[in-house]
Amino acid sequence: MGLKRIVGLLILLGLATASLIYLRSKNTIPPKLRVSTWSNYFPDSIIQKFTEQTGIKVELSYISSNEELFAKLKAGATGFDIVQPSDYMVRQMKSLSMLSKLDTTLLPNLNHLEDYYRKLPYDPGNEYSVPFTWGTTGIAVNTSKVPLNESEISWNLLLNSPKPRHTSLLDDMREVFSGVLFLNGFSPNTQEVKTLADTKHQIAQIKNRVLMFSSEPKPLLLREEIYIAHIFSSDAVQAQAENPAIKYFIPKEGGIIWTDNFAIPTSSQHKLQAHAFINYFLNPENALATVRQSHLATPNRSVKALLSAEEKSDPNIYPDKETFKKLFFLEDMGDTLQIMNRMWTELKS
Amino acid sequence: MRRSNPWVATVFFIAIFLLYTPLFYLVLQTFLNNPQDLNSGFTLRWLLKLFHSPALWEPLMTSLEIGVLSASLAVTVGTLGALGLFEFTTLLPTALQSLIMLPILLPEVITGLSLLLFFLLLRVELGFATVVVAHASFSASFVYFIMLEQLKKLDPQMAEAAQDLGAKPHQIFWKVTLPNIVPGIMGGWLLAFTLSFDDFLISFFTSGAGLTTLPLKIYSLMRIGITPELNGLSFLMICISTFLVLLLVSKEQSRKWVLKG
Amino acid sequence: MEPQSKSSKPIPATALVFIGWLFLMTFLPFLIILGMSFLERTPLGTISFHFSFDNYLRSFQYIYIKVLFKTVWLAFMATVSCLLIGFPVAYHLARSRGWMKQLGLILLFIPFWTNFILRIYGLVALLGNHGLINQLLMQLRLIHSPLEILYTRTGVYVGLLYNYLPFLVVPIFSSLEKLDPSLREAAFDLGANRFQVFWKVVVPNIKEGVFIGSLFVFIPMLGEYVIPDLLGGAKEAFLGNVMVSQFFVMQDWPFGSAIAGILSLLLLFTLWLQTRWSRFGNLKDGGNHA
Repeated sequence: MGLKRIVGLLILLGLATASLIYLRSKNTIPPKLRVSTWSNYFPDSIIQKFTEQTGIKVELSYISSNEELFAKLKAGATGFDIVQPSDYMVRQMKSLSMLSKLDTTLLPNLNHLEDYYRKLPYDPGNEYSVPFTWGTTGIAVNTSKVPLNESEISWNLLLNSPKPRHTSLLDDMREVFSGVLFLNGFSPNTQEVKTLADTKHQIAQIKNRVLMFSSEPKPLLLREEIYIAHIFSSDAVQAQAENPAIKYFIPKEGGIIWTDNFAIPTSSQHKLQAHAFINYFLNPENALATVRQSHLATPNRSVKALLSAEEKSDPNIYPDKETFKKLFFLEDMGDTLQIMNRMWTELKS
Repeated sequence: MRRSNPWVATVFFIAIFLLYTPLFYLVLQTFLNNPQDLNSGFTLRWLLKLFHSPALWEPLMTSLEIGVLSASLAVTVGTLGALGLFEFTTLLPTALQSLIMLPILLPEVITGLSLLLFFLLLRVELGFATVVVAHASFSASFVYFIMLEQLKKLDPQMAEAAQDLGAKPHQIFWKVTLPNIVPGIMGGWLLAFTLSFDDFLISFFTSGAGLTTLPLKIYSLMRIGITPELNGLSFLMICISTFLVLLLVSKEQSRKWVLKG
Repeated sequence: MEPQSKSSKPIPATALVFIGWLFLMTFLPFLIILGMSFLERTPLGTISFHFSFDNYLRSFQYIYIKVLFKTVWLAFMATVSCLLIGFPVAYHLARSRGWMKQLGLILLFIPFWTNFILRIYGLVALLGNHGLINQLLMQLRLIHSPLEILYTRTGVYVGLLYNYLPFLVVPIFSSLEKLDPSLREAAFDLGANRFQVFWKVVVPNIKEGVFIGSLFVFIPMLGEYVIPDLLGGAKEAFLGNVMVSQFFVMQDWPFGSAIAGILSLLLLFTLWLQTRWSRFGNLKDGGNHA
């Protein structure tokens, strides 16, 4: 029957396929810079300009929370060249040697940063991270759908929403806990298990009322699927630019302030190019274009000098001194994190 | 034969109609000026824009490459298995039968996560190769079953008859055996390709950071807000799948398996 | 042991390639994930090689049992609904002839060879507050406020139904095809009415197809991850979602693996139930099925 010949042909096919797979996986030419970022940070045009100038192609992928970034890196996502952890996550990753030390000689534009951002408590001297932007976490409301008294915005608006079926919470453990902790007058960084357990029960009830968890509420706000969103200021301001009825508030009880940073994971194989990418976004011209198009707050002194007075006084991007007093950074939870993780798993189940 | 009951026919047509509504809506949106608004007028803009978005073309090419290579791998392994086992099928111990069924029965989440752990344990870098191998790991069993059917149909008497008529072994091979096996191989290959091209979950787990297939790209676009180009892409993909189904259905060997999925 | 009767030929080397491949690429990884479920997580999120049943004990908490039941219940309901719709569809296909049958089959299958994620995308576009369905119903003034389907349990259910229907139609269709029309005619000749023919002739003969079809739909539904995630608003977790989040958010691989273990047990149980049921069915028919 000649079945042996078939076997021979098949073995040839198998060998050919195997060698093609081998060749294709060795030659990922041209090398690409893999950037893990939050949605809506980098306008296409500015990334394209980077590729034109340097010949380095860039691929963006998106995370929903710092915890997701952390877990993905741990689960073998070794291809990332740039990650964007927030403040507390920089500390955590640094302590687990997941970030590689930055070579400041490759980052001449670092001197454009404001002094404050050169010596942040979680990474003084920018040894492992460079702040890209900062912002707050609060509530965005579509005011054409939800009437409100704008002087008295509380976390209650989100957590006991008047339109629960049009309300979304961030898909982010620390942020959701913070909102409820603020409402009850606790610190967002409390490590008291009893308080956290009470908070969890409250979230469990809220969860049954609200429409969904999403860390990308902007498109949903714009499509009017939701009217009230737990949101990062950057996304809120972008949504407002497209629909002026959407307004952003930091609740009276207080809010979270965060920085999002550039960092290079230890596993990156394109560290030189990654430095070039960071330096490119520290360049005032590029940073200015990014900040304008994506409506972000900048830690860059030279960029701030170039902004118009109107831009600089947007309270949604640059909160006033009074508001600053009620903004808090999230801090490392230590061993309590595991307890909180379990609570969150139970909440999402 | 009696005609089908009108109620049954009605259910059939309603079901088909409902199955197509989401797809037609996507196609319709492709040609709307504002995809959210039914009255916003006709445009070819989104479709044309698609051809200038490398962000979607590259994942498409990656998916095609993965599909071709993993299908070839699955065909090799699956056919070798069928060739070795087709005479024994009734004698196979239950353990072996279960092993062959395992990739088909195991939910994709488990397949994907267990492969992820496996690759991490072996310290293989996640990326192109891991995705290809992962896809072939589950499609090989499908190929095996297709080939089994094909080989059972192979009649040894045909070869004997050819031999009696004076055909040389290599002639028998090229004129009798091969033409009878190739349709099965083609069907199996197409099925394995489609399974790979369609796969989201297993790629999601085994691709690491270094690779974006088309379904992964669509998933991330859906999360961060839908772009109208995505509708253009849907239109294209629906055309491709229609073509694939017609191709598969035209091959008798694979028809059954298209239908079984 | 008796020597093998038909052919004492050893299993050829070519088969070993395939068996080795399955063992290495499916069974071994599966063993690894099962093994992982008996380990412990350290506070830092790494794995400690400490044998324990803790992960399984933890999954017997009320909250996870609830997810388990929700998953099984929704998958079961969706399977039953698939059957209710799928049976008439398969029946119609089996009764139509020639090009009508071909066309019907092709029509049924094109949506399902369209990318899975795109199908979900289509559903999201269709079911939202401003999706086609709500736009049309509102314009027709049938409803005043949009129906809440997307990001609810109903959304998940619709998604399951939509995505799995054809996988049930086909096995039923092929068993109906095998059904000998003369059987039906004989029954009619013996004076049976349509209802009796259906229950006494059609049903027993296609039971196998229905069982297998339901199984092929029910099992993957149990492991569903994408549909609850995208159509349920990350709120209606299935076992699969809890499991994946243990790996990709919570950094608790052993617990995630334990959920995989439970899911596999559920699968085994379903298979066992299926074989028992079909054996039982065969016994009732006289037990003369080979």
